[in-house]
Amino acid sequence: MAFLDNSGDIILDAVLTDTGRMRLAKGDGSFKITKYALADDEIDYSLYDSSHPSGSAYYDLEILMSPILEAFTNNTSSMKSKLISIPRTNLLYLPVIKLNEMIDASAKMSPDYRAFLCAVDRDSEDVFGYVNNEPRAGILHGENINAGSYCRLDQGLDTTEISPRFTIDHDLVETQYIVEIDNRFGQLVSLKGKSAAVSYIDDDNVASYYLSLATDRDFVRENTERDADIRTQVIDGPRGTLIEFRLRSSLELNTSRYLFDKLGSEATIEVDGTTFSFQYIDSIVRVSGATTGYGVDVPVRFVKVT
Amino acid sequence: MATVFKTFLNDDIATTRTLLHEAIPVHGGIVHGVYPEPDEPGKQEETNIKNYPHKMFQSVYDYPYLSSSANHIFDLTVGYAAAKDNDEAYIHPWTNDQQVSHKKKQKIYYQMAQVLVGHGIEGDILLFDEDGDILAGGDKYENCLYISIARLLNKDEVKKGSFFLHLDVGPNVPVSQANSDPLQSNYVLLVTDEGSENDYRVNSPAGDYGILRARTWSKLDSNGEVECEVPYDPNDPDYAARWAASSDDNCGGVDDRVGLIYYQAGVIVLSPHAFLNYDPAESSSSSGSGSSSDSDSGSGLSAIESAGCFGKLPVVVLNANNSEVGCMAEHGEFEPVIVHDDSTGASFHIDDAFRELDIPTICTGFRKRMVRMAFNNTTELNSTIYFCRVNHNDFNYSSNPTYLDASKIRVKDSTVDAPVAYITTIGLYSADNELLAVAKLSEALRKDPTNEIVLRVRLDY
Repeated sequence: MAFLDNSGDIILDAVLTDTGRMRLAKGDGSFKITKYALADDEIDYSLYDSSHPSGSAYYDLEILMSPILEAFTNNTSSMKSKLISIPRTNLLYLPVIKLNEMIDASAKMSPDYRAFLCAVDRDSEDVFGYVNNEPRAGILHGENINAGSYCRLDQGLDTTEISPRFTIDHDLVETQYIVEIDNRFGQLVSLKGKSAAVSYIDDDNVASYYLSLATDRDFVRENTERDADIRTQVIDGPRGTLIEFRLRSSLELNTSRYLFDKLGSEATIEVDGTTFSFQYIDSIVRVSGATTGYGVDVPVRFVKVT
Repeated sequence: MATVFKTFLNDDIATTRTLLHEAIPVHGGIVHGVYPEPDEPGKQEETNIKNYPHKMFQSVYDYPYLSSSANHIFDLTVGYAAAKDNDEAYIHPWTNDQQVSHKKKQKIYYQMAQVLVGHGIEGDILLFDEDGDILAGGDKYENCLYISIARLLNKDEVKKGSFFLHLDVGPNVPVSQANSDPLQSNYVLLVTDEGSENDYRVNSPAGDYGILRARTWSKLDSNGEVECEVPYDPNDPDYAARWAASSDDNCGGVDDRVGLIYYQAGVIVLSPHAFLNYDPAESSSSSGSGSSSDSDSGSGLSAIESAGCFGKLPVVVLNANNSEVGCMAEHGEFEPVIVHDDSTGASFHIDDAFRELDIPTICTGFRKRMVRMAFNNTTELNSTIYFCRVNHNDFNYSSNPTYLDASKIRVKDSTVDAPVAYITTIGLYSADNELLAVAKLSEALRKDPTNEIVLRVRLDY
């Protein structure tokens, strides 16, 4: 994608996304635009210089000079960071979503790969899941979903300026999460092994799960921990909600090497003195707040021993 | 409550219809000259002219057609009505190829007539009518050259009144690429549908159509430029007097129906009359006062003037040995300019060419007479405009990871500072939060509680 010409008048470059075209082609009335959102994907707010010696007119000079790319037609490539409407203007802090690896050993990512590894079948679970008969950190069991690690993400104001004993403002509490994962690789399950309902799967095979505090208590709940000193929390300030989940590997990854051959790579791992070869596919699971818009990409490596 | 979406209200969505016009110039160099002819030995991969084994039509591309970069511009073909079966000239011993070609030309004529003119009350196929008044009968075009413009250029329709076709009607026959410069003969006839925006016909099953008229003839200078002291103006009652007073030998006006243009179908039906409409009686008078062996403008134009050819197209009729200048009569006898058959080296009057040559050969002869074609196409854009109204308290914060530093908003130093965000992208969503369309601003727009913005996103279909 090229940059838009910003030498003259402001122009607006609009395109239908691939999903929009697909729905239009269906002709079943599913192409109906009902709402809009704004985003600032290209903006790096660290360029905002509120100490510029020339005054406030220069604070955002660097930001305003940012070149803007043409519109992407891929629906998953745009609108990564949305603007938020909050009627109040006196907010100094906004909530974030952070991966919580401190809650217990099962919530940690693999220290070797700095990602969660999802063993897609029993053999892979046996190889990756344990070292010296102890569970290995950061291994999601794709077949035996009741065992292994899990992902937990906490939401709240991550600041030491406000005590976690304060209750987070109700309009900053995330009540619904959107989890996006490549549907060819896996599905979302709760820690109790309950599958989440897919909201929709787009043309790029990205499945979206909408999980809300009100209806998906197996996944989303309030973070009631208010202790400031506790070493199990990653949100230093007032805490909102949290989301926990595991991944079930897809049948295709579980039973076939096709996608590993097509999309993946090969490597070896040494477990208890034995070297195993395995194939892997690197992917991400995106978790974002439906109301606050903040999003986090969780790296996941799907592995299968050969 | 924090939110990232805003719902459109009823008055935020408007639908409009816009007609978009593009100017489409097709220079004669593209049609012939720039690229080799298809029959040029060893050059088949470089030609932009595509002939087919069935020999029913010829396709013209803007680039060698074997390249994936080539775009189809138009097709050429010819046809004549079955009335020719009764014509003495058409009943003579033919080769098998000529008989096959004869059938194909009739087939083309009736196929085009069926689609463009339609059927009579008895189910018979109507012929192309010269003035479009089919019910009144009148003159028909029984010999036709067809230019079918590709949809890529034509889009939804040709804009009425925008069609111009400059034809080389001079005496020299473009024999080969080396001397196929359409400007060498100097005499160029302008065929146009000028004025059709307010005068077109609607009695065709293929949509609107207009009457093509030969409007002006021009003599070009050595650079191919037309220099008329008195530009032709058919609405100027004093034009004739002004033209005469100017002693301008280079230009003149005519007004002769030479074809039809079907706007939605993108088909130009051209009578060979466009090339020549020659009155033998005037020919004899003009040849007596001055003849020209080729394009000698001096003697030729003197002959025109002395023959009283003012306001008519000067034409050159080739006989066996030389050229003679005459005047174009209003609707005189058909005495066509010649077409050269490169494969045999023979030359044909266009009348004979229609009868004896195959379709691609006639198309090639005609193509070499095309100096320039230009028109405006029309695209009907149906648009939906979404007014994204960003009120003062909307979208003042961002979920951009760089917006926060340890959860603190970077663009604020205290709670009293106004929040600021920068808009670069607008996403249009379905009710189930699927991104259906996306729009980008060419530069970031600052949004804070002190301003309101209306972003107008137009989607064209």
